Amino acid sequence: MIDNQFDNFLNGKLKDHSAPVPAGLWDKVKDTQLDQFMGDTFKDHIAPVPTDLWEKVTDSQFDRFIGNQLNSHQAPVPADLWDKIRDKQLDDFFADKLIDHTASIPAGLWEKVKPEEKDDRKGFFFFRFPAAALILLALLLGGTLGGYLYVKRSDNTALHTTKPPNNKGLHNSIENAKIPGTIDNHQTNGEQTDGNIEKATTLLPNNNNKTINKIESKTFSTSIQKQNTIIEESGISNGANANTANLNQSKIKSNQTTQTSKLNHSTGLFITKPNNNKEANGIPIYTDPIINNNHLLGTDENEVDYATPYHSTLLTANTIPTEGNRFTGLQSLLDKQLANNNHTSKFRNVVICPADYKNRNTDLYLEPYLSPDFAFKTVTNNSATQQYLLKKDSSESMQIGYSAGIRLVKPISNNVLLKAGLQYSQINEKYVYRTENEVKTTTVVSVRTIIRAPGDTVIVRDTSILLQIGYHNNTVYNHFRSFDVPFTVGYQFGNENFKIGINAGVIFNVSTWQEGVILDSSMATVPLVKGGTANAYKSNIGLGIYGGISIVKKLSDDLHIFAEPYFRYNLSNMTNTQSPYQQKINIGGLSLGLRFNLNRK
Amino acid sequence: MADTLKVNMKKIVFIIGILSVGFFTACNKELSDNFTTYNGHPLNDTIWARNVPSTASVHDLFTNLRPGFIVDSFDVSIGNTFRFGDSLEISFGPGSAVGQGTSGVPPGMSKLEIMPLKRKGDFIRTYRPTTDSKQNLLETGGGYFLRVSKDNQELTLFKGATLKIKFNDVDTPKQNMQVFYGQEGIPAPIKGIDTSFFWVRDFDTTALPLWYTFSNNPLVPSYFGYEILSKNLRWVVAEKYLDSTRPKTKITAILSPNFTNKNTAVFAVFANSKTIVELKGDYPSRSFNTKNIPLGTTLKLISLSKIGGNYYLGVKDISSVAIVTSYTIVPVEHSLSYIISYLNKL
Repeated sequence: MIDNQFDNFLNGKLKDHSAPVPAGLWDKVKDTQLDQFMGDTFKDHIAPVPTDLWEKVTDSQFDRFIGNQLNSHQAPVPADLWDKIRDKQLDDFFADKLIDHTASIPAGLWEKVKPEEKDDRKGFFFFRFPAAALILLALLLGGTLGGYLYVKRSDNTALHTTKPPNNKGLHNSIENAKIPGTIDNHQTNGEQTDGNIEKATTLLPNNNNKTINKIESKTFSTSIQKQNTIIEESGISNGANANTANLNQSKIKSNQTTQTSKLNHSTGLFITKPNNNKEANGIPIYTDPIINNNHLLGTDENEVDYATPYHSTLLTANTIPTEGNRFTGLQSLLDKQLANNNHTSKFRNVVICPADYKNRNTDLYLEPYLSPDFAFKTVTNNSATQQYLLKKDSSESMQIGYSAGIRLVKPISNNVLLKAGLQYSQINEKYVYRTENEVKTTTVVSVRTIIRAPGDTVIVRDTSILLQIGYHNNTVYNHFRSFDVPFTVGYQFGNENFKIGINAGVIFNVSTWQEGVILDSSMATVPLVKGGTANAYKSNIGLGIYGGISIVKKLSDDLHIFAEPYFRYNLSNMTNTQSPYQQKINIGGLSLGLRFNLNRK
Repeated sequence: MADTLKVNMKKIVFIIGILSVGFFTACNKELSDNFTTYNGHPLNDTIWARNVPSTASVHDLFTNLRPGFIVDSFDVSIGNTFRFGDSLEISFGPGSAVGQGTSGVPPGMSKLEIMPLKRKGDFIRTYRPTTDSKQNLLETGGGYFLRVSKDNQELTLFKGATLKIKFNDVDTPKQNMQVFYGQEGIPAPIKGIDTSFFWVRDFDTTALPLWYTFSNNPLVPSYFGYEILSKNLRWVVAEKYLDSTRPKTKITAILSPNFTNKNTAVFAVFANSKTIVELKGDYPSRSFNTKNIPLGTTLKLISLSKIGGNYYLGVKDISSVAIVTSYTIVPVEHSLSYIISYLNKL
């Protein structure tokens, strides 16, 4: 039996045998008596599935067999079937049956959806393939510029400029896109939608809006709702009007809702409603996810339930490109891909696409920041006397300085950031020294009572200068200023709202200059003069090492606030070789700033 | 996209603007000072004294301002006439000077010290204002300080003896000059200011005879002067009371608080007569004043100060004394030599 011997035997015996159908049998069949009988008989029957049956099904042998058998078969739709469908009885039936059903994705599906990338991850793409990176970068820049110019030009040539002169109805329908249940293209898809609308309108015939709206009326096609789907219309001709040629050779972009009856919105399962549109040259045209702009015209022939559109960005990666000519009639049933499509579309598939590594992070941040700085000074003796160092030490004390800068931050992945910018720093030092025999001048008003004569007394108020002598405790704030260029690499982790990062890098000193006073070799306090003999400081302190920990809090999509405690270790002394001592200042600080996203998409 | 770029550019410009403001406002050099006066420094001493101590710097001032002596010697028992050109002639008779008590005429050579009082500045430098004990104003024609000593023991004129002093007046000689002697404090201070000093007219109020020596040679000046027969050594001058019928007033000089009666002396120097008046320090009003100044007088108020090691000279010109409350003098620091030079030219 398993070897089909019995089947072959019966087939041989009964191959040419014919027998009349008993009278009333078809009526019984039509009245579902047979169905009822078979159902009652086999309701509780359990039979094992032959071993290779599922494989045949999977290999589409069964589909092909059924397809061949029913290729030219036509059957009337039961009278109340559409009512049942409209009443969602079928929807509810499938929903109840399949709501908790899961099915594995056939092997190889993802390869067809998106071939797996060979990603050895041995290095950053740009480093591994610099030539390709340059070409890609050029293409990206060119494409971006071209796209921008194209969109810009499309904006300038709005619907009014492309509208056919006599297509008033179309024009009105598009402009009045807020038909109940339809998509407001202007709101949902922005500029790109406008462009698609423009293209769609150019494809539409002026006098026959039904041309591309031909759907095999007897075919129930379920499909995953698609947006941004491109359907090749090649090979389909329409002699009804001159615009057909354009139609045949064009790719039609659809950003609009497919003409579907909503079966179960939560499951994403849709069934297209058949319509009575005529074929083009006798070839049935399947228009499942295609734009049917004609429906937007509100033709009375199409009573349409428009499905609520998903956001265009949510399903882009999950859709399977379909080719229109594969959906012609029952041939589509033979197509494995369509079979899989149909197969998977009947179940709730929660599909998570693999990451698209080609779609790199385009963010570019600008970080202005300000930091209070704490300087740590170290002094080593070269040739100075102990008295000199003691006086210098007692005279000088470091104060809080600050840094301010601005830097660009480029994320090269979700976690790794490159930073570069320009930074101004000022280290403050309090220098106290005493000057003797200082004369202080004060304007005073003296009040005197003068007796000019007995009984003649006057009060005299005299303004004069009072001189006082003493010593000054002078406090001078020395400023060590510098311009630096920091380059850092950071690694950050966390969620969208809060991230912690570690940053490290180098700081190149561009220029350093000083202002204030200094203790000269004769123990006198003299001003710091650039190039002066007493000036012991360099004009460039060279390289510094930077390390910091950043805490980033999201304020909005484009704005973050961050705090970054850091430490800067200077590799070189700030004094020149002629100085009697060597002095180095390292800095610890807390950068506080904002992070603006300049290129968020 | 263009709008986004525009917004971002605005952000960048705003941020750079804020940073630039911070940068440029941070470029100001900060400097603060804490001044502390020296305790006990003379300049910081603005306290007036009810009674000026002998250690006050004003005494040092006039010790330093005092002119030097012309020194010579002679045998007192023989006597001698000293001639200093045509401007001064001093004649001692034999045995005209004797020692203290009953020591008699000292044998041998005795020392003669002469200090001329010929200009107004001399009276200031020696702190000898031309007033009597009642602050009456005197006009002087000049005089001398004469001291004869033997072995550092000062001699006095023998009773009834006189010495002749014939001297010229650097200004136009005045008629009716009389002999005045200086009344010093007892004892007279060796240094500093004799605050008790005043001029006393001789009993003989006869007008001093004038003398003159004409010179037709333009290179040789003519001399005019007085001839005094003095009955005393030390301070001898030709003076007379300033005769003025004009009403008199009190003038007050006010100086900065740094200038007190401990370090400053103020004089009124008449322009049209050789009259010098001291403005005494008045403690209650912290000012210097004097009375009996005729209204309409042209004079200078001159302040001399010594604060620490620094000397100050203040001059206030008054073209015509009026009834005013006070005059303000602003002393200026000068060297001692400058001040002396200035005084010598008065």
